[in-house]
Amino acid sequence: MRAWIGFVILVVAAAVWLPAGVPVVVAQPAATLVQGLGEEPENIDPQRTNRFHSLTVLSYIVEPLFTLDKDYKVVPLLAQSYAWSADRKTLRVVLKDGITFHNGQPLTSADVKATFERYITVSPLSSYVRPRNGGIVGMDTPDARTIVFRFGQAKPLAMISDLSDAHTGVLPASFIASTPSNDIGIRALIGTGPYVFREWVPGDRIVLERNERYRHGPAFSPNRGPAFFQRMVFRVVPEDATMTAEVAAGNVDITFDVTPSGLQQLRNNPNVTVMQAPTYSVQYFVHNMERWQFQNARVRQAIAHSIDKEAIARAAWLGVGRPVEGLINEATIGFWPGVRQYAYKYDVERAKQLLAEAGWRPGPDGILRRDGDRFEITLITFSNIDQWRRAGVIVQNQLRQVGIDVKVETAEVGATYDRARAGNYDVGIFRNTWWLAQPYLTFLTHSVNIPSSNYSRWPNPELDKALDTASNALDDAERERALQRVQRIIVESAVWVPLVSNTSLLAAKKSVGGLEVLAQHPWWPVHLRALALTRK
Amino acid sequence: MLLGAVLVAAVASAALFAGAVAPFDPAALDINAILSRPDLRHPFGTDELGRDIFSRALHGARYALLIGVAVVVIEGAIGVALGAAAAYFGGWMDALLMRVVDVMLAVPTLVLALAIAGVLGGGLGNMILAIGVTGWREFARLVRGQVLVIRSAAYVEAARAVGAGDLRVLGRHVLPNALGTVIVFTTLEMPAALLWAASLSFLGLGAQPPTPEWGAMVAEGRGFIGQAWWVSTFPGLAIMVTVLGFNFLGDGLRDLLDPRTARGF
Amino acid sequence: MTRYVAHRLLSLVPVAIGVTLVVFSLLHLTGDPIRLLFGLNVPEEIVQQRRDELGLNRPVAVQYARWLTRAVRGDLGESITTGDRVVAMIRPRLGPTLELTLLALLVTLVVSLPAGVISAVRRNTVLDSLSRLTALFWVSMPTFWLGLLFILVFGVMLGWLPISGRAEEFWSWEGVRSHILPVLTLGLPPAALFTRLTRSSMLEVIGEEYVRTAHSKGLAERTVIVKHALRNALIPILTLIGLRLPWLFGGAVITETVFAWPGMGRLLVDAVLKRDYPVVQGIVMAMALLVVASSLLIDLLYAYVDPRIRYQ
Repeated sequence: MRAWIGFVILVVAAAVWLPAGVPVVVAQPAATLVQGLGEEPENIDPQRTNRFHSLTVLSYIVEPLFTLDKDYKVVPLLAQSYAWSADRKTLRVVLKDGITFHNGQPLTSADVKATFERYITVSPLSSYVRPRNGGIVGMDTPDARTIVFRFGQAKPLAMISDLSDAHTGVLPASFIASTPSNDIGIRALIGTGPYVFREWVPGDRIVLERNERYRHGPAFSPNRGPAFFQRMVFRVVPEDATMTAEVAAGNVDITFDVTPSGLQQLRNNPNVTVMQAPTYSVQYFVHNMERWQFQNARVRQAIAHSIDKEAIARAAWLGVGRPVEGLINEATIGFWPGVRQYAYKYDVERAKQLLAEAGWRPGPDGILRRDGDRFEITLITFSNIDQWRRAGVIVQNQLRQVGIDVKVETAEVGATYDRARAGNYDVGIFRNTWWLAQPYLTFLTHSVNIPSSNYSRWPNPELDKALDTASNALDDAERERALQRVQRIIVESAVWVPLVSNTSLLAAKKSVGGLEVLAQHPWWPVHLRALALTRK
Repeated sequence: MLLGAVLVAAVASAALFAGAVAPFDPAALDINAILSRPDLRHPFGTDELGRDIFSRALHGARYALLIGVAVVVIEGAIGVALGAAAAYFGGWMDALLMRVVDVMLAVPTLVLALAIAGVLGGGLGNMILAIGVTGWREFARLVRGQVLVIRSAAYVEAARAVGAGDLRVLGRHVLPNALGTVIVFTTLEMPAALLWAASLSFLGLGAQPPTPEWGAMVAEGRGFIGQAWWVSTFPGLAIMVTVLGFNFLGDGLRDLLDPRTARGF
Repeated sequence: MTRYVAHRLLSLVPVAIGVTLVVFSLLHLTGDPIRLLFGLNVPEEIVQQRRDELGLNRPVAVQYARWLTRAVRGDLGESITTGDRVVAMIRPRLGPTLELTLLALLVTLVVSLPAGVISAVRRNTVLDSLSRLTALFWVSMPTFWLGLLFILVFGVMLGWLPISGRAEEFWSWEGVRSHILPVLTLGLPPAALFTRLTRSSMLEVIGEEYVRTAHSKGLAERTVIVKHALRNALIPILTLIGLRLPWLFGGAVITETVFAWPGMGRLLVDAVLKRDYPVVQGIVMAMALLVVASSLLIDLLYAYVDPRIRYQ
């Protein structure tokens, strides 16, 4: 019996002792906004990360030199003014006066320089402006408020793709110098933004506090600062069903991570507002062009004709998606509406006819055969995103109707990309989320990116040439024409079959205000959320 | 025990006759009947792709039994071989093998299976393999214990005395006598395997779509739990009934072997 | 006693090394974590650069040797995804997981000991069947499904309890409330096994000579059961606790995922899916050590209760 009592004492003691080590948090005041995060960021270091959920949080804390308004116009944020040299190789930026970091230090050109040096060396996203690619070869700081960027060659997109991006969010030079690089964005982060990084309880939440001195919000923002909520708490809720339940119960004020499966339940909830905003995300189907079956353009066109995008939008996306024709959609900077006329319409009869013309005949089991080969292919896609897994099953069913036997093999996002890079697949369904046509289409379709990010494995000199022109030509009109050509080749070749573009879902308590602004423009910078949200 | 046998028999016949009984093709989509409530046409309702859950649940019985049997066969093969070898040969062999078992026992089954399935990349086959190569440890211990007892029994000594070889003694005399215990353990290990499989499916490392595996069905339907409870509830109940059945059966068999703990069931 | 403890501690070393070997060799068969980390819009040169920095281009044996020598000094390396030190990542997760598992164990015992005793004393009655049936009911449900049902019923439909997350302050209304559902989800399923064991070992003990003697001395039924029978029946239960600890950690992986609990299990799931092997190794190691340490603790308790063991 003594052992038993001893054990109970042990258990109880442990239960009592353990939580004692945890800091005590006061009850959350009404001036707190709890935002649900569907995935915990790995870090919130603007320069090291390229993950969406990291960006969501760090955009409240750090700011880039410029930002974009709803018409994609570059608007100064930390910068006051800028001027390009005639050859477009030198950019001179003057900083706003009187901006201070969260630690009280004033913002200077030395901080910008240190930040860009760090961005160029450590960021996975900085390749466009890396020196070896003709990017930023030097920076001068003639005075505390002026910074001069010197480019190796003209880089017309740098303003939009790098200088207006949260990944170049400016950190104090002294902070960069004194903090181990791996601790930045985990233990500490100092910026100029509307919120100050306070605390990160791993696996649970990230707490931010309002920056009381913040006044320099962009002119198009409904509020130039300081933000409405005194405290911003990001709660990590990785399980979709749990997130839906938390929003329904009112424990989470707002989240941008509602899945379509939880939508209906939240719509019926009288205390919750659900809004949909367009996104630049495109779900697309792609052929592995190393497979002999797809060498014949008729076969690819037949497959494109047999996919009913409407059904995918309705069932895989439960109505929050709509069919798209291009690999980028109209919310993306550089989209060309003319691409629509080249898209292949859902037409099973036409698909069957094309396959017959290509020499494929139905076998006894209904599956097509040609010279003894059965038309069976493997489709890969993501297991952990419902909309992709379901799209895979739907495409499997649709191709079966024209006599193609599809085996679906899903894996977690990373594993799927690994497999795609290894070339071990016949067709795949992937996603594309970027707000700039270029350099993004280069990543997806240029032959230099086979196999790392171009999963068509289709080297096409004509497409490469158009992509290069669209990236680097100095003349705006010439770049635009090239970009149109790129979009046309992508769709017309039927190597890629764009499927669905979804709307992003936003769910919030009825008492949260300022949502309308956020729902209008998906390309608006995330940090606008910090300024727009209020309590009604 | 009777109840257990009935439940297991029900699951087995569902598996056998799913093709004949199921009203729908388990993979057939019906985009116009997404998430419809249970009614006469679809007794368990339909899922988010309009598939008939009743038909899928029936077909799922096949996968459940497949998972249960395959996992136990893998576990049994490794466990019986190592356990018997350790006990029979004794000495350094025993010490080494039991150290290995100790090492493996220190890592929680689900944790190790999760890591292995993560490495292998999911899918029904990989999932079975991951659970199988993790779960054999207790098998090995059990068999070792049994063999140790039987090895010293008089008839084994006798067989050895007349010159029977190691393998022959082990195969003909020792293992058959340990069989009873192994069977009981097997019956109780099947439901554990099913539950582990369901957990791995929940974490996204389970069967491939559109396989109507119960764990995957519960996992895929969990997002709808607040709006369409039937999608994950029926496959969940199917798992529960099957696991209960095997547990009852195993309990009963155990009582038969060990009458001291017998009880009226 | 000291010699016994020393001996048991020493025997842990090969187990610990064995675990590292198993886990290390296993994880290095995986795909490319760097690619996964950076996603698709990153050129190959940057990926290679990062791979070199992390030493992922060297032979596995070299990587293992390096890892082991650092691990001995308490350095489990750095996470591939966050760049943070693995030890620093695990430390804050330890408390919530231990708290969850220990409380769950407590629930298991609180539910199953009385149920087992009642089953044994009133064996073959309706009460016996009922208590065993209930126990089997819990053990037959997939953990995550049970958790989701709890959330649906008590969190959403009735609104009595918080749905997920762990309130910081344990000794508060919110703190206690936030623990109830996860602890029940983890603690109820194993109750079946413990009920059964309590019942059978009680039955065994009740049949023994000294219990019958106690009865014949005219002691009250309650005294006999609690003071004599239960006490002796507890020894096998102690063994079972030791054997079931690994299960609890496994269950915690699922429970923490469902309830957004900031523990080691959640961290493990994330790390497995992102193939962040230093973190997976670290957590599997930590869990294995915890299991080994608690079985050591139980062995010691044993030795304390039963002197025969000490001198073996």
